[in-house]
Amino acid sequence: MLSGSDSRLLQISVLIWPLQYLLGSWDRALLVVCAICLLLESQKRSRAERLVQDLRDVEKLHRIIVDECPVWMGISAILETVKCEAYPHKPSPGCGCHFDMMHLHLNKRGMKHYGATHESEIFQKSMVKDYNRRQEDVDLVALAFKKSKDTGQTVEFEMHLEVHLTADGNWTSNAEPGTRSSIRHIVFTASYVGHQDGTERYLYICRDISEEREYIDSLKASEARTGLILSTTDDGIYEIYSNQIINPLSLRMYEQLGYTKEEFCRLVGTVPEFMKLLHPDDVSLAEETLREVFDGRLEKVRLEMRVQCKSGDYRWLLSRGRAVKFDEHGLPTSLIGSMTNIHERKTAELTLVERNRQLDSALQQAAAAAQSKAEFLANISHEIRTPLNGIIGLGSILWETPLTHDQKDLLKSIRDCADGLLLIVNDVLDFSKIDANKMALENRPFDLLGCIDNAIYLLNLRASEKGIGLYSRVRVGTPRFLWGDGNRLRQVLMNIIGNAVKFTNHGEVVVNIDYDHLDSSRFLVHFRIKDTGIGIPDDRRHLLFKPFSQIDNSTSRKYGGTGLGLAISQRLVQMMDPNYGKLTVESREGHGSTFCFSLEMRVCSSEESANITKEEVKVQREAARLAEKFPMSILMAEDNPVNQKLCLRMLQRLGYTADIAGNGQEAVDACKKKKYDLILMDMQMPTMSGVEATRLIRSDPDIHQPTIYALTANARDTDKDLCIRAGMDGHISKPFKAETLIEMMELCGKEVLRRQTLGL
Amino acid sequence: MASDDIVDHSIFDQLLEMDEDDEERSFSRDIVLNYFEQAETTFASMDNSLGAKDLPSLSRLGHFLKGSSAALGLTKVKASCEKIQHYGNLKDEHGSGSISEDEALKRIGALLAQTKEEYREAEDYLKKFYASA
Repeated sequence: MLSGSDSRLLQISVLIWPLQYLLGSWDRALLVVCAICLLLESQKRSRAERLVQDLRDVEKLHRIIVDECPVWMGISAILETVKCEAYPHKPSPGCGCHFDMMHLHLNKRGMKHYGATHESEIFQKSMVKDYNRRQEDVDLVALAFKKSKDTGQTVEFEMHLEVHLTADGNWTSNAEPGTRSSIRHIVFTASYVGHQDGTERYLYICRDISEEREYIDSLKASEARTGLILSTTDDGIYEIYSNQIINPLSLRMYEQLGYTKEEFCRLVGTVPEFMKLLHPDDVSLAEETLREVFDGRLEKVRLEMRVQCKSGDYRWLLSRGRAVKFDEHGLPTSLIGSMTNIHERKTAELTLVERNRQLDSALQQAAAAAQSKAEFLANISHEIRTPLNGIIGLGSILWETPLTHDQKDLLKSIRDCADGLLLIVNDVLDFSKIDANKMALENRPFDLLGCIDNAIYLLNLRASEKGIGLYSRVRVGTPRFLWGDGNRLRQVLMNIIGNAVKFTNHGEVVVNIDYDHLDSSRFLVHFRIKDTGIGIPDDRRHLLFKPFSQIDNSTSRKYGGTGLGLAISQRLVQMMDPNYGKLTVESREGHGSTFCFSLEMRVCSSEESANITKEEVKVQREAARLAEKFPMSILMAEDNPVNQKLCLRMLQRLGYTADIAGNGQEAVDACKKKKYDLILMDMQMPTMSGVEATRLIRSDPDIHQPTIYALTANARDTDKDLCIRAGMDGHISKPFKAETLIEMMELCGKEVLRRQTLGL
Repeated sequence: MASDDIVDHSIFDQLLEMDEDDEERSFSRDIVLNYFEQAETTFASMDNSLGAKDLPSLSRLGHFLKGSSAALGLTKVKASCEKIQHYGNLKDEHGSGSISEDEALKRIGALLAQTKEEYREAEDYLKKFYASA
């Protein structure tokens, strides 16, 4: 076969013939032809050189590409050899299923793996024999290579390779000290590249995808976990995008509403479609919230809403979410949240709210009822007491008028009835007040001993009439001035001691006072009222403190009383001391009873005590006795009804009653009709002045001369002189204080006594 | 005790003491109500007497209301009533000197309105007191 250049030479040689004719000689023709041939040759050569240079350049480029390639690339040949001694249990030699492979070419990366710096070091070295690769590994690779030859296509497969990692993370095949072994996940790509020098050559690329694989594995695991969470959570998970698309992320999202996934996705793909499922009352808030989120004004969502289920019912769901992805303007592009079923909780809550509302309403009604009851009591109290006081007051005034013996008897009965009625009314009103929780105890310094003495003093008369002893036995060191409600305590003592006296016919009633010192300011005071009276039968004891019950129906007829006293006392004691205050009784029928109660009380400081000593002791003790010390019949001449009432009341508190004259003339007339010990004369009255009246009274010999005191409006000297000249005995300035009146009354009283003694 | 206090408590408290341990304050409340009635009636009578130019009557009425106002500690009302009393007696506001009838009527005319004002003030105060008692 002629090559291309040879055929060209032949073509040029043929040119000799025409040339020799042209040039005239064979030599010249030959010269020309040779010159042309040499030219062509040199052209050819330079072309060839250029070609070789190009090839060299290409080869260099390829070399660089191969060498610098970060993956391991090489060309190997398969050797059908096997050393089955190493695997005695494997098939015998020549079985054709074990191979060794020989390196022919290796890129830099590959060489590094083998610890070589030059290709010559690895050339024709074999994997199993020279580099101790595992037979299974090499077989696997070789089989893949053979497959690529058979199929004519690139084969890719994965395998695990044991390598040794150096300190700087490179891997070598040699287990040198300082390395640790690691199993790497490799992807092999192999292709058959042809037959040469008696060997079948394969190009392969080896890629370490261990990290990728690890990464993919962990991603898969994470995805699986997420999937698991989503599938097991009871909440519906959703994602809403700023373009209003809804993406339900968990089964429960639609399951909890009774839909299947298909039904739900068909029904609800966008926010407006979802809004159709909401209860009409919840729609505007939901829309507004979403708007706020995607406007960037709200980061977290927490919304309770009613969503319609497949069945048509509404269920309460709680949606909680937050914006998670943001665009370049910082606005949210996605909101992820959960829908929790709160239906049971919410309906229970609403029921509770409604119940509470009903309860509040009921409480309000009850309070209103209690309030109206209390107001009723307050009104009734006044309405009842006023006419009753009238009866009592008028009765005592009538008592002072001339009466026949029979009339006096009748009047006495009336007065006793009135007094008795007053006691009952007071008891009933007190009890009702306590019952309606309208009783408020005072907390003021009071004199304990004064209280006890007072109670005993007031009952002394009754006791002595019955011939029984009544006295107190107070342990030395009992605190005297304490904080509390002295009046109510006296009421309790009066009730208990009164009962004791009532039900005792011989012997004595003793009030024992004992105490325990709790700390520097607090005492526990023990009250024991022991009597030697008729006692209480055991089976009746439980009735004792019950309101409106008496031990025996006959006792009420025999002994009187409302049956409320002890009930009131017990409650008062409890109110005074919620911890210790309890009224108890021990009793033996026929022998007597002992009533006990204890009260924790706070002692007064010395200044507080001093105050009581001044006011209360004086007023309470002396005042009540004044009328008994200095009994007087009194006439008040005062024209203003308001002043009359006030003055009368002040006198009442001292135990006095007084008659009233509305002007000077009436005063004079009254004096002619009745003997008065004292006249309280207002100075200026209509019709006749006080001065004029006094003169008339003083100048009338038939009138028993009373002590006359002026009630002056101003303490001017002229008034004083006027009084004295008119014949008055003294004066008191209006308006006067209770203490002033008491002092005056004492003076008057003494004056009256003086006159009586002197027979004036 | 300031003379521009509506109620002088050193006196009014005396009245309250009369209630003793009655929470409803029946006694003092009753007295105050009586006073209100009395004041209304007295003012009405004063109006009539002023119209009839009856100075002695005005003096008497002034004295009358003065007494009860003083008893309740209503200092301003009491002071004004006392002035009316004096003017009615053709005396000056301190109760001395001498003024003409016309002058007296004129002064009483002016003072009456003021007295009623002072009374209203006291009335309000007392009503509030008893409302919260």
